[in-house]
Amino acid sequence: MRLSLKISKAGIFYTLITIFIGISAVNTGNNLLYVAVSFLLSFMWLSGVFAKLNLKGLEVNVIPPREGYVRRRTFIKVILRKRGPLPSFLLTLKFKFSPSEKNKELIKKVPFLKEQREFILEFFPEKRGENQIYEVEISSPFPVSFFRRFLRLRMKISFIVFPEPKRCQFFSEDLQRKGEKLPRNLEGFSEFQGLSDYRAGIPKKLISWKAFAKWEVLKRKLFSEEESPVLMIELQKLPLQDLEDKLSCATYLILKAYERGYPFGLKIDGKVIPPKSGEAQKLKILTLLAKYEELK
Amino acid sequence: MSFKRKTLEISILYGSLLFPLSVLFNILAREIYLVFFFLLIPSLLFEKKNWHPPRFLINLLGLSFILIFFLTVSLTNFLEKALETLFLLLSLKFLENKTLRDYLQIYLLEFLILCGASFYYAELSFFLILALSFIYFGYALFLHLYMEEGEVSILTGEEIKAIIFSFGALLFLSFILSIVFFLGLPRLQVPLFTLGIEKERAKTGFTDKIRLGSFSEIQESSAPVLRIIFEKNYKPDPKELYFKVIAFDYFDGRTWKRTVSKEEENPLRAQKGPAKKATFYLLSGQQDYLPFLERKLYIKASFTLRHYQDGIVKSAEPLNYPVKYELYFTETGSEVFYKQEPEAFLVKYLQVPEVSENIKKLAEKLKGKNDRETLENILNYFKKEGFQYSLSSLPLGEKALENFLFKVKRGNCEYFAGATALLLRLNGIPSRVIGGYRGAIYNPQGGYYLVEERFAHSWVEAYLQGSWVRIDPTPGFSYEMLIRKKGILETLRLYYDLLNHYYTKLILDYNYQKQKKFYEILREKLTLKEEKPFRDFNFKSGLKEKKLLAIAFLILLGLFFFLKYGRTLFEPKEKRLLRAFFKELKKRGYVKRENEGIFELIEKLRDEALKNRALKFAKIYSEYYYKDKPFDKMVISELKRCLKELRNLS
Repeated sequence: MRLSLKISKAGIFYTLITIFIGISAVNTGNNLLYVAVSFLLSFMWLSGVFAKLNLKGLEVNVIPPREGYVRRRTFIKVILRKRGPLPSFLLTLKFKFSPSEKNKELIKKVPFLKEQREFILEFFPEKRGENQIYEVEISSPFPVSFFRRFLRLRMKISFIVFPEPKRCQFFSEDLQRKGEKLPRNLEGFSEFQGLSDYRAGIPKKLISWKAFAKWEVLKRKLFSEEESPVLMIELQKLPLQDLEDKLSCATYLILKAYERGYPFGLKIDGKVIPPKSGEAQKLKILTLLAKYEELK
Repeated sequence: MSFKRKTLEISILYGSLLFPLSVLFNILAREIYLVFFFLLIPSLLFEKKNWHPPRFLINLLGLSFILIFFLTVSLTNFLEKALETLFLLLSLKFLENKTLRDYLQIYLLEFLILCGASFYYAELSFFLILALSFIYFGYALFLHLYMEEGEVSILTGEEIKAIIFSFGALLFLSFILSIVFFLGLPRLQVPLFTLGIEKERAKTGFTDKIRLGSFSEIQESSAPVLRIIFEKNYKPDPKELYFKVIAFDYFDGRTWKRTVSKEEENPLRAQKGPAKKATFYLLSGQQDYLPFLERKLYIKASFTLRHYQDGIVKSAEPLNYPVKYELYFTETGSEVFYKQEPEAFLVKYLQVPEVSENIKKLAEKLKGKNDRETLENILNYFKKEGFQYSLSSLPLGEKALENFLFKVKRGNCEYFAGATALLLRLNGIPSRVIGGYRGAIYNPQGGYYLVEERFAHSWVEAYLQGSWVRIDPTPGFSYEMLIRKKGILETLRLYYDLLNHYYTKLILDYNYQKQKKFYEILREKLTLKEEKPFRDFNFKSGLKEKKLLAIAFLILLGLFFFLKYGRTLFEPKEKRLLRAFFKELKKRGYVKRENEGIFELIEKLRDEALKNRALKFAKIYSEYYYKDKPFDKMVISELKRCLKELRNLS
């Protein structure tokens, strides 16, 4: 935690006026000028103290995104807490991303903070793989913008940004060639196997309304996988030139398969991840794709 | 409750104008206000239309105002011209499109104007305006910043409350701290410049001449002129106090004048009787004449004085009011204002102008066997002829005195004094008219005497049998008439004057000498502490300042402890014990995290003995706390014991 200070032009102007009145007071012996300059000086001094208190007891809790994709809207949740009896005013928070991306920072203004506030930050990641928020800089011109006080909080919030999902044109033909038809109709899944959590994107037909009536939570019906197709992606074999395009396409396919509830797997540089459905599988594969370079 | 940004900002900004206007209204010339409002009214319209003239145009106009200032300023009118220019620059600032920077500049300009105007005001009300403006500008600046920086367009009730309290705390503490600065800022023994303010106050003060009828205005004003503190245990009757300011020795038939009197070198004179001391606070200008009591011995002041042969005292330099001086005088004896009154010196007190036959005849008629009898006859003449005291429908013009003596027979003190002095002179008795104040209001709370403008009075001094005798010929002019009926308003007025008195004493009169004394007391106190134990500190034997200092210190100490521990005072005992428990563990390097439970924390303890004792405490505590059982004395003492055991563990 580091505190620093930057004096503004207004602050310099104020100081000059204070000095001017101070000199006039000494030279004329006018006690009301002494009173005025005493007000100005004590206000200046206490502004410094209050500015410090304004940033004291601040805690920033950054909850990184569970899933973030390159060039897709991604959300970071921030919990900002203030301890102590005084609230904080006019905070500007700058979230600085890993040093390799120097210019990237997210800015959030919080004019008033009492106890706790939560907010969501939106951004579009540019770099695949591991991203890091290494510092939060909180600054405030409180109380009267004569200076700006800075508080820098070091942190290491890492999260993985997955490749940008890009629609691949060959997708359906490719699968059809293998005779693995993508069913438009899900009627055929008849053997009920159980329930799992519902996620956006899963066809509404699969929602168990019975379960909803019972627990008021959306659940998804799971059926026997016997008849469901399996998606196995071999990255090197994807008919695309560019590596990034290959990764993007693979990401797209995996997301689609996941949405529809098929099992999916990945073959990558000789490493095989056997097909499975579910979120854990998705995250595992996407992480591998995101950190492709690290595999080697 | 919510406020729209634009409306709020504009009202705050334009509202701030009340401060400079309230203090400048009787300082600047009328034309300046004309220019000011000529510029201000369009700025309000621009505000509505959200259009503003280009900045370079405004800057050009500003530069021309500054140029005019340099062309017209001189040493004597410096302050007035500076205030004029600042005031006009202020009106220009209102024309601009305003950003945060402009708001700050406007408020600082207004504060600067108040500082400049401080030379004109000696009343507490000005101090209050200054303090109020400080609060106002502080809040206003913060609000502008809040709305601009925080990109807020609407303020909620909760925000307003938080702003008022948090920022209020800052302002309040600033006031407290400014006392320290005020006492401690460097001061010069003698100020380098005294800004002369040549402005005469419209209705108050004495001039070198009085024309008949001109006095009545003064006698209707209740502005305070003087506050006097006599030495301890001396409490004269307020109605017997005559304060001399000026002596008029020359009468031209219409006007009494003071001809230049020779300066006297040695002001100390041979008076008999023990000397009394009175401290005078002169609050407003009397053309730099200093009022004093009869039988003056000596005046002690921090500025140079001029003593004249006729006993009158004037400051040699222009003064910034209020001023303080000490007067030494005797209670008994006769009024002597020149060591030996030589014949030649007395001649000027026999001067008479060309007067009408009627007056000459009257003077002859009133002549007695000796001077005493002549005087008696003159005073009796006013009584017999039914002369009345009046402030209105006074005889004016060429024959004012004759009309007064023979026709109207009504007048205020200067008619009676003027007529008496003239009749005495016509009968060969040296005499003169004295201008000053008669009577005072005793303020029992402050232990001082207050003299107001309406106490202004004139009387006569006649040279009888080798000494000067005071003669007050005005009938019906009684002290009781001056003291108003006692009502709640009058009481409040006196209390307000008391505050003003302390304001004058503590703030306006604070100077290098007092600062030095203050430092000495402080040093004495600090060294005293080391040498002697605290119980030797004796309140009664100490000075008043010592007491005040001790009380102020205790208040500050109390405030500090209240702010620091106030919250814990009202906490239940078990909470305090729990806090002490965590503090103890913290000392040993185990800090409780926010979401950590007491048992989780204890789990982490590595030392077995420590862990066991901590567990004992935690078990008792949670047993009662989580089952909502009341913590009675037994449990509390048990917890205390556990804590003690924990502490004793090395």
